[in-house]
This record gives sequence, C-alpha cells and structure tokens, in this order.
Amino acid sequence: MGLDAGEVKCVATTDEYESTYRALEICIASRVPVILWGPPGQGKTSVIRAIAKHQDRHLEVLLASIREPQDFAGLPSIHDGRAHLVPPDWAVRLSEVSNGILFTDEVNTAPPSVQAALLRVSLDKVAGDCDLGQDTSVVAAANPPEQAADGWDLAPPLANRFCHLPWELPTEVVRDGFAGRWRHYGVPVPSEEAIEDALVRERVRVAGFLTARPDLATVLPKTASEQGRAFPTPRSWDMVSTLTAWATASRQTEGVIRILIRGCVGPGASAEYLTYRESLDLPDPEKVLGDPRSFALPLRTDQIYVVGAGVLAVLRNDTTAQRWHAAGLVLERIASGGHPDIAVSFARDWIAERPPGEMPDSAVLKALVPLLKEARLI
Amino acid sequence: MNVTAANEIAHDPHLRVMAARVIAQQRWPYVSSILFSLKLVKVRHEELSTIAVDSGWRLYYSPQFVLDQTPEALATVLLHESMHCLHDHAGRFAVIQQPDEHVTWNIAGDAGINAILDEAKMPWPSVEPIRIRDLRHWNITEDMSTEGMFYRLLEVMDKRPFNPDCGSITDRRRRTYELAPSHDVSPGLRIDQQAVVRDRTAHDIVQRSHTQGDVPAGLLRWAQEILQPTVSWREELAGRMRRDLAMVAGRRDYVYTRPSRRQSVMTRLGSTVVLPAMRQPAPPRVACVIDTSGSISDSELRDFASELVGITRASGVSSGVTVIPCDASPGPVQRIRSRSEIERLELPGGGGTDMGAGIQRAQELKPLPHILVIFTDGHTPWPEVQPREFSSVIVVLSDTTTRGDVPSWARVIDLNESNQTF
Repeated sequence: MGLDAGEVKCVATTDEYESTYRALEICIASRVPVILWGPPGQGKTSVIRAIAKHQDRHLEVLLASIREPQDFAGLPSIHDGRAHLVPPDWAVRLSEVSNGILFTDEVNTAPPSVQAALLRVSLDKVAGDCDLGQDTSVVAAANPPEQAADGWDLAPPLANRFCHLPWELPTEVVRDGFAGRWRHYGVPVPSEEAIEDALVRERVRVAGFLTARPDLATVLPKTASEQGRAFPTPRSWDMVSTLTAWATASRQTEGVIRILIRGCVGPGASAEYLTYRESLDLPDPEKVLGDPRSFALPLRTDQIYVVGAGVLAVLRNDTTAQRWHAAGLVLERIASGGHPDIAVSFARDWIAERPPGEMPDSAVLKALVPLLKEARLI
Repeated sequence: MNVTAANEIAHDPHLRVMAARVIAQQRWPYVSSILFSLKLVKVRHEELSTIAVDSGWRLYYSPQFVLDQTPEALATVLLHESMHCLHDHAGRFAVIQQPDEHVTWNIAGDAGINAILDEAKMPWPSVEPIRIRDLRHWNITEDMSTEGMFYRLLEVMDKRPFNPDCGSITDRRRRTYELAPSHDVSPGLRIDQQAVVRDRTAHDIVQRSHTQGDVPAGLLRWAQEILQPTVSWREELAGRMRRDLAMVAGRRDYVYTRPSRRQSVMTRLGSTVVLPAMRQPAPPRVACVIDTSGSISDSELRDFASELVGITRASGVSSGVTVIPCDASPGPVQRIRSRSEIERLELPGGGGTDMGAGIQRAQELKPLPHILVIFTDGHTPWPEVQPREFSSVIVVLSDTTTRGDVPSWARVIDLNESNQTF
C-alpha cells in the first residue's frame, strides 16, 4: 500500500474541478486572499475573468514575475523634500471602484522583494500611498516550485495569509472547452444576514474544536516546502470560519468545504476538523433517545452509522428500561430506512445492555432477526 | 421461525451481502464509514461473475456468487474492496498515466491488500486471492508500495498468470454493468465526497489505535499518513536547497542601495521618481561529502548524488555539484553537472569513517562552496567547531538512530523517516 495519500499529485477529475472552482468563487466573494497552485496554461485567468463577470466586479490582472517591487509598493518620488510612494495605475483604478479583484499571476517566480511588496498588498490592501479598499479581493497564482525552473517556496508569513487551492484542468473540461463549452459554476452570493448567522455558528465550532485540540491551533511545518503552503495558525483558523460560513450560507457540498478548510490549515488538521465539524451536524444522541420516533435520519450512510454509535454510547452511560427501548426503536428505524446491516452492527451491543426482565419489542426483533441469523450472530 | 422462512433467507443474496457487511464491520469497526458508504447493486451473473466496486463506490454483486459463499468469506471480500476505496487506487492509477496496464495495476493493488487481510487471518471465498508469495518469482516483496510492485511487474512479468477485476474502483474505466454516475436510485459517491469519508476513516483508525492495539500496522500507517502527511526526503532536500540557494544568492533582486542605471534618464526628463537598481550575484556553489565507508550501498550513493544534481539544476544553478567521496579520509574531488555523469563518478572507500575529514576538504575548496550537503549513516565523529565557511550545512542521514549525534549547526534530513514506501 503506497503511503502517498494520492492527493499530493493528482490527476484532477471533473468533480474535483467543480469543487475547486466553487471554492475559488467563495474565497473571492468572501475577500479571503486565495492562491492557486498549478502549472501554467490551466485557464486560471479566464476562470477568474468569468467569476469577476458573474460577481459583477472590476478585475485587474498582473504578472508578478515581470513586475518590480515599486509596482506593488509604489514608486518613491521626492517632492518638497518629502518622499511619496506614487501608486501604479492599476492600484488607482482599483481604489476608484468598489469591490475590485486583484489577480497576480506567477507570484513565486517573482524576486523576494516583489513578494515582500505583495505581502503588504494582500494583507493591508494598500499599494504605495493608495488604499485599495477592504472590499478588494486578492487572488494569486503560482507554479509549484518543483515544476517551475526558478520558482521558490513562498515565505511562511506570506503563505499563511492565503487559502491554497490546487488547480488542474481535467481532460474532460478541456475537451468540452474546445468543443465550445467551458464549464462555469455560479455560486450564489448569500444575504448578509445569512452570512452573519453562519459566521457566528462557524466561529463557535472552530473555538470548540481548538478547545478540544489545542495542539492544532498553531503547527509550523518542519520542512521548507510545507512551510510555503497551508498550515494551521490562529489566522488561518479565522479564515476557516469565514470560508465555511460563506460555503454553508451558499449551500455548498462537503467536498467544497473540505477543499476550503484544507486550503487554509493543510491536510492533517483539516481532516481532524472536518470530522469534528460533521459530527456536530448530526442529531444529538441524547435528543434522539428522548424522541426516537421523530429524529431525521442523515442522508449519508456513514453518518447514519455515527448516529447509531452515538446512541449506543450514551445508552451505555445511563441504561434505563425506557432508554433501552428507545435505542431499540432507533435501530428499528435505521433498519427499516434501508440499512438493516447498520442496525445489526449495533444489535449485539444493544442486547448486552438489556436491563433485567425487559424484552425487545416485536417490531425491533422483526427488523433485526433475519439478518442476525444470516450473519450467524444468533 | 419455520423451515420455509429459513430457506427464503438462505436464498436472498442481498441479505447475504448485508450479513457479510455486518461481519466485516465487527472485524474492523474502524473502517465502518467506508464499508457502509458502499451502495449495494445486484447485477446478472452473466455480466459479472463475482463482486466488483465502481469508481463511485457502488458495490455490484452476482447473486449466484454471493449465495455460494459463506458470509464470513464474503466479509473478507468486502473488506478487500473497501481497501481499494481507502487507498484511492483509481486516483493513483490515473497519476501513473498508463491506462492500458490496468490489469497489472489491479494485481499489484490486490497483492498489497491481501497481505494485510492474510495477516489478520481472514477466511477466503472459493476464488483464491493473489498473494505476494505468488509474485515472489518476480522479486515482489512485502515492503513495496503498490506503485513499486506495478513498475516491477511491468518490467519483468512476460505473461500475466492472473486476471483480476475488482471493477473501476482500481482504474476509473467504466464497466458494462455499471450504473450511470448520477443514477436516480443509486447515484455514485462524488470523488470529493469520497475524500471526506476517507478522512473520517483515517480519524477513526487513529482513535482506535489510541485505545486498542488491534489495528493492522498497514492500515494505521495509511491513516497516520492522511492525518500527518510526511514529505519524502527528495522533496524535503529540494525544498531545503531551494531556500538555501535563494538565501545565498539573493538571486536577482531589486535594491535601493545603488542607483539605477536608468536614473539619469529620469532626471533628464525632469522626473523626481527614484528607481531601484537590479542586483544579480554570482550563482551559488554546492558541494557534497558522500560517506563511502561501506554501510551505504553504491547504488544508494549514486541515487543520492543524482537527486542532488537534479535539484540544483532545477533550482537554476548550472555550475553543477562538487562531490567529495570520503571514508576515513577524503577521496578524489569531482564535479558533476548532469545526471548522465553519475555513472562515471568514482566512489572509492572502505575502511573507517570520518566526515570531519570530508568537511575539512570542502573548507579547502577554491572557490569555497556556499552550501555543503553531507550524505552519511551518521556513525562518524563530527567536527567540534562549526565550519563557518558555509552558509548552510545539510546532513542527510540514512540511519535514524544517529540523529542525536549530529551537531546542531547542521540541518538534518532523515532518509528513512520521510521515505516510507509501504
């Protein structure tokens, strides 16, 4: 079994492309700086143009590798014995419109001083003496250092300010594009109240997770190449809460949410957080036991299993006849919902908790016994 | 329950597969997320004579086949298929980009999976599984990755003695019996969703290993790799080198410490703008000391030198790498510029080890190298004082146990810790 988790180098599928595309739209809409990693010629610029059009926003495209630091930091000019930083024309244009987008390509093939100047633009949204406005979105693109002849890893402080998205065009998308249909996916921009509500919820979740896993609040990666990518810090966790709030408010799939979280805090911490976050979305086992007839069965089968496991766990903590019967009913509902095998996986544990003198309901038995027999568990 | 009812049960293939899934779950509860994510789809025996899973995690079964097997044996098959999902064999096969070799890939994947199942002593159905010992003839060993086995088999296997087909979960090639990806009743699981389930499974496996010691080592390593990915020593060395090269060179960059060559034009035009100058220092020099005392094989040494030359070239240094072979004393100093020169590299050596002697030789080089890379097993004395001539010293260790002896002024890269192949 190769340990390469298969995601480091990946031949993208259309599913992954769609999710990444949507993740990018959310980053731009929520004003979280985003960086796309991928080889040149992957249609990044045209996708960002399409998104700018969809969100009805002004776009400025710059190529960092052929720029000089003063193109980002402003040209020093002396007037009356005072040095001013004269802003470049793109910055003036962005400052004059509201809700602009700044797209900088090839940032990691740019010299370090250009990268440093870019840091201030992406962080403070200031170029020279010109304020671009906090409503400006910052998008960057970079070639992975192992692919670019003179590319380097981003410095950790710059890397940590971005949400990192892998960008690769799947062959199907290219094929359809040449046939005249480049795929676009429009993410609706949610209402401000919806985002505010979601943001409060997501902040509580991140806070809860970091209380349980303080070791994941800040993890500086050991190697130079990892330090140039996503890693957890309080700032990137803050980005996680913003992005997940936008993603839930615009009803995106778990796949999109996973890509966003991964892009902020890296693969390890994101896997842990996603698991934690998903279990919060499931029905509370105590409430399920309190009212076993009316709880909503999750759609995903692996989540149904988690609900069953949770119910059995709280039953074990406090077993009364009434709770035991309620748990039996939960199993019956899982079984008749088309998943008798999930129900039966808990049957033994459930029988083991039987209070003296209690007998299972006939409906529960009817739902479980045939499969228990087939599996030769009774 | 009367006899007729019992017979009916025995003839329900769907019930049999679900029973197998329950048994599989009891064996390895920590892979429940993947097991229960599989959607069960019955197909005609003529279309599929056993069991297969597609790239959307739908499990297709022949009713005849499953009724011929005990639930216990079927449970092993379900776990086998789950492991194809777990290891993302379809995605990894796409990376290899040899679509015609899907059968060989399936063989390699099966052999690795079955080794873990055999280690757990699981019963097999009537079909005999592919095992690593069946492939021993082609020098396949248990410590190889699926990719490693695949390339080895491609090289040496003239005819395929096996023809397994676990479905498109191994290669994303659509089979005739498969449902449409967005089927109404049983839609396939999206690939990004599969990644979510895989993450959860990795989490469950690691949690289980905290409380109980029954998780197979292969599964635990997979899960730890998902939650704490390690970087291969090649990548780590490349990253380290890129950073050090950049720091040494400063590369081309802009400075305000010297006036720009175009400044006079600005003044003449009456502009008050101050332009920066561009600076590009001489390219950095890289040298490496290679431990030829005998504990590291010649091919490993060449492999390392080759990697180092590749990295320096890729980082834009065209002057090559100065190589100093060293056992107790330094050997002939050579310069290699490209990977094709690796074979010509002379690596004499044998008795004793003293990397300090090699370092001293590097200090005498003219011009002095900026970056020194040392490849050793670490069983050597180290100089007591830091060699201040170099801006960076990187030590690549082939033996983890000696890590503590390496002086603190050197950056250590662990060859083995970050290079698990299994």
